[in-house]
Amino acid sequence: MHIQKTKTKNGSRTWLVIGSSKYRLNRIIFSLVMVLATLAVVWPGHAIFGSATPLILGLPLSFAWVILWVIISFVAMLALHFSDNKDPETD
Amino acid sequence: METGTVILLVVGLYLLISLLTGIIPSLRISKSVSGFVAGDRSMNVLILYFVIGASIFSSFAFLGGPGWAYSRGAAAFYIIAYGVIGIVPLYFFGPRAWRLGKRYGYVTQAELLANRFDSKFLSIMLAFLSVIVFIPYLTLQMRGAAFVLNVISEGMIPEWAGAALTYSVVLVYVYFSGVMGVGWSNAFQGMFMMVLAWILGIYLPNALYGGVGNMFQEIIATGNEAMLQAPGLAADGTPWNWWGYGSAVVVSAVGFSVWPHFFMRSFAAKSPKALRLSVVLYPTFLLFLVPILLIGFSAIVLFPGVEQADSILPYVLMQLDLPAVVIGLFCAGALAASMSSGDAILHSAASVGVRDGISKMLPAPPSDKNERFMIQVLVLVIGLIAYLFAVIVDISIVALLLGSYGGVAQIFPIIFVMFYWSRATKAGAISGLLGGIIVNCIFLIFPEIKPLPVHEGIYGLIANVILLVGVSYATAPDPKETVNKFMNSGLLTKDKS
Repeated sequence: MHIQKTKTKNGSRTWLVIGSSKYRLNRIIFSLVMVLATLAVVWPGHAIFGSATPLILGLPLSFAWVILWVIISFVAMLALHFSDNKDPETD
Repeated sequence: METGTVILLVVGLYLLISLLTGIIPSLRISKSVSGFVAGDRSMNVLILYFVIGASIFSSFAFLGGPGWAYSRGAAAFYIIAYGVIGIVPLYFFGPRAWRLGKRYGYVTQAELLANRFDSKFLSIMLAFLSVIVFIPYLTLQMRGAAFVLNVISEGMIPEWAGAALTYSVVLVYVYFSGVMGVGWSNAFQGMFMMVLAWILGIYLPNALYGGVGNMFQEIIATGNEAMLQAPGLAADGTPWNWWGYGSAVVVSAVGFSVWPHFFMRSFAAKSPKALRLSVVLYPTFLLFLVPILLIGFSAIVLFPGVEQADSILPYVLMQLDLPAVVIGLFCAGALAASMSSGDAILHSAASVGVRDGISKMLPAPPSDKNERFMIQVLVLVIGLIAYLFAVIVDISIVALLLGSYGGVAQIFPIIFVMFYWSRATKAGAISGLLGGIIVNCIFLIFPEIKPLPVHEGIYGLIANVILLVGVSYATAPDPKETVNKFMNSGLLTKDKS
């Protein structure tokens, strides 16, 4: 498993090479974050951080937790978007 | 001025602006099917952002969201949870659909699928299903608008008149401007709702309890702590379980990106980049559900025992001594929520119904001009049918709509394999979709036979994927040329690494 950089016509891509398959690194990282987000807002994440107290910025922990993950996912999507834009031919 | 007059003036002004923002784009789009259905592929980030965002800000979110927070507490967070997961697939599907649309002239979701799997049957079936699901959906939006006008006007505006008034505005701008009318009016309605949601969501907890923190402390102190504990309460008021909550989130998330009216906005984008950016910005729209839920929470302690939870927002507003302008603005906001979803549904139901259904059943394909006209006529017909359901026929459509979420989710696997799995075949796709829908319906009608208390859509999805993969492997591969066309998704480069 290693990381490889290739040039395309107007940009570049970073790949994660595992055996004979290549995956785009930014998408792998993004997918992992989203899997984490799913586990966090459903189960077991929300079961652990799902109590009414303490209040965080006035909101119950169960509410603040979901909002936190909306923000994390938003940042992850922004990062994916900007890293995808480095390669104009991206699909 | 009298309170009633002020409210009517504010609402009237709102309707007038909606009408104008909806009609003006008709001057700019071409008089073609592509112009009506996909806005000549010209939507910029701003419009797309609101079109995508407004789809979640329906009557359900504006009235149902506070209703859930009021009666079921933390269970209401599921609306936020599924949105943030559900939007992601569109980032990947959208640009692929866009490029194929640009190159081959597709404007609907069913067209893509029918071409990939070379099946007229699939196209007609999807059209049929879409219209079946969309009519109750539209009916609900109409009832939401009629209900709010009726309550706020203290019965002065009967429900039939409220629905007719608001939806004749929608009919006019959808009829003339197609999707661009939907887009521009949604941008106006969306901004309006956002401002209103934040003002009300912050004002009510402050006015009633002296702050959001105080409000929640009060809720906990009055013995409602269990409500705020995730995953909240089930419909019967007992604590909900993770099977039910989790599967509701998953099914809604899976279905979210493939709702036909939502997915087909991909074709209206100006460029894949614009589409991606508006998808990426979507979570900011999701945060506007936070004040909406706060409104519902604000009523728990002060107004216990309201039977109809969905009416909690207008109920609270009527209890407070608010200036008439504020009530009028709220009323217009609720109409905006209803209309910005209703117009998109109406437009898509007619577009899909003609383009993928009626046109495919005709012996010869209709000319572009005729097809556009047929879509416009169907806009009027569907609007009228939904209106009749809304004011005359008294059947429970909420159940029908909730059931449809599991059904729509069944489209996801075939969209996914269209882009990512070359071995999927026509027989596999059709049996997967049909099997998934049938299993979903069986568990919907007979919930007592469920082995686990999870959403019926999950059972449908399991059957769907098994059939899709199994039958595909058991049948000969589809022609390479077609498969590659969709796997490469219209990219001109021959790079197939």
